[in-house]
Amino acid sequence: MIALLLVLALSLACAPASVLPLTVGRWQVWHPRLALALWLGIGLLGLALAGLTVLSAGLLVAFSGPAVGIARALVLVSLAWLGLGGIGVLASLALGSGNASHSTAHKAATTLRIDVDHETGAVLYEVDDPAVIAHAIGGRHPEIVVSRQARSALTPAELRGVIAHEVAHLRGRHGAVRRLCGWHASCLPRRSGLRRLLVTRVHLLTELAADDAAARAVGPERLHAGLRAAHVLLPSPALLVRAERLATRSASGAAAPGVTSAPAPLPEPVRNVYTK
Amino acid sequence: MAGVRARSNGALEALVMRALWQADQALGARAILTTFEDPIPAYTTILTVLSRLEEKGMVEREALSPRKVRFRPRISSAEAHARDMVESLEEAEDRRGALLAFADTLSSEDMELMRGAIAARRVRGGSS
Repeated sequence: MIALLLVLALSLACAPASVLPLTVGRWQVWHPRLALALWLGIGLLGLALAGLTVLSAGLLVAFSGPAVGIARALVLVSLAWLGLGGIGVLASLALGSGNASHSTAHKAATTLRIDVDHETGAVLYEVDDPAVIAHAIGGRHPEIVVSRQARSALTPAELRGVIAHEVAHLRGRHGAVRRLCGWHASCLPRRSGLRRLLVTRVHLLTELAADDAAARAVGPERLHAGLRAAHVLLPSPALLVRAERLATRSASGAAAPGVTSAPAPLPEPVRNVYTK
Repeated sequence: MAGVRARSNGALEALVMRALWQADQALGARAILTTFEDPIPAYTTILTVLSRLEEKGMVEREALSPRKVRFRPRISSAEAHARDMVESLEEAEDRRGALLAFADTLSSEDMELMRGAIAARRVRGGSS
């Protein structure tokens, strides 16, 4: 029983411990995927340990026989319920409670379906909304939305960088990663700094991971140009600092593996749409 | 019976709507049929599709006589796609938090983290 309690304590400790790879040091800025993988790995270990606790407690109750003391049986059942409670919270969140977020496309006066990216299966839409550059929506029916303003203001090369970033979000399943982060945050105390840090850090690292993947796909210079052009269209210090990071990485010669002087073209449908 | 269900109902509706959007005037079922490539659906299938589209408010009927009925689109192509997208978003509860915007804002702590990491790398690069 002590071993069971220890395993349960360890599984509970994984919830805050998995945040550490995201928050200790500054190395995550250059290795966002590794940081996210560590966070997910420790989180999954915690979940597996919680499952093991439930299973063990259940088996102990089932096979202890009639000789088991009332107090002991109560403790074991409580342990099982505690573990199940945690899994239940996760399951209910997984099923998606609360309101669905609304795309800016809802507010847009007109939305036009323009193409399909066959590799991700994402439908490309154009919206008439000056408050939008581009965004991706993951899920069973992925979509990429680009504003008409961005399409007309950005050069084809800049636009490729922007679209490659959104495609990278879909390929990396960053929507699912952020939902996982939401579930994880709900396991941490409501007003804790750790909880807020977890959410903002996962948000940042998914953006940086998408930047890195886009830089590999179309070349860092195109994405850099896309980020700077997007800042002109919709001023945001976050866009500038992301562009600065790409420039610093390229300048220090530590560009992401796979970056070549002749960047690989985007999938054909995207190029057809955005190369005017 | 090969080709009877070569297209889904949704695909047939989309093709009928496309034919109506591309036409300058209201079209009858036979005229719509001429816009199809193989496999060409049955005339009655097109009538069924048009009835379904009418129920959905996508097309309106113009009855010149009981035997001469034409249809015209009630909404534009852009409106239809907007409606399609909104519906798919509303049905997708799993999209909560899945919106990934290109120009997303970052928290002040994260901005500081980024600036610190960039400055540190530049200093390292400069000193080497």
